[in-house]
Amino acid sequence: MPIVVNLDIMLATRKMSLTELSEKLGISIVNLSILKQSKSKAIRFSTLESICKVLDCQPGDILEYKKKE
Amino acid sequence: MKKTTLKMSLVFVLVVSITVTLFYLNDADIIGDMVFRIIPVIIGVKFLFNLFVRRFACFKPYFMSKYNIFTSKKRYQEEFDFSKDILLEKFKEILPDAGVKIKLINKDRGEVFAITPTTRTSWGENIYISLIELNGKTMVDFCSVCFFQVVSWGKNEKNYNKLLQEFESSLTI
Repeated sequence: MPIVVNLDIMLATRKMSLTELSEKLGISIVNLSILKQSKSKAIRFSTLESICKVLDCQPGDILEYKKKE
Repeated sequence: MKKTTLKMSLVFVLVVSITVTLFYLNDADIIGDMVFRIIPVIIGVKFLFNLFVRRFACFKPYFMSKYNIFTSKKRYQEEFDFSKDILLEKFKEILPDAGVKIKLINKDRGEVFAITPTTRTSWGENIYISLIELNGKTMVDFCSVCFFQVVSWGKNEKNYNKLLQEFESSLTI
């Protein structure tokens, strides 16, 4: 998919584990793992808002558009 | 010949044979009278037996057997781009939403056993899911079984579609 989720990069920058993020967001690790692997079908604005709030970042830091080669 | 057609033909032959036998034995003799009483009892006992044992995962071979012509089975196989562990957790999450009660999840063997409750239109179905992981992808073998019904009347298909629908909607995070 051309939309890439850079959640792992943001987590590394903030020195936060996926488990910690999962606890803070109230979203299961499985769902965050799917999101991290860019295998989710869609992301809710509420989820994006929560992630941005917890990681103190912008939606653009998490989502990136990459052209297919 | 398709499996379903063969099964239906077998059941038809069985029903016709029983009817013909009953017709000839029914001339007021004792055997005919006994047969009339015994057959409903046998059917009733088999139904109650199936109803009782359907809750146990160890009876999977019994319900899945091709020789068990009184159970309607439908099997689907699909490959998912997820690991086995993620899919197992996902099934754990979505099966209750699909109105299915999980009875057993075996992470080592990658098996899920669940049952649908009895409703006005259905006695309930057994759902057996097996997951096999290959090169990061997982092959899901889904089987829905009506425990005492020759024809499912679309219930097995409905279970599979419901599960797929729940899975798709659960991918919106």
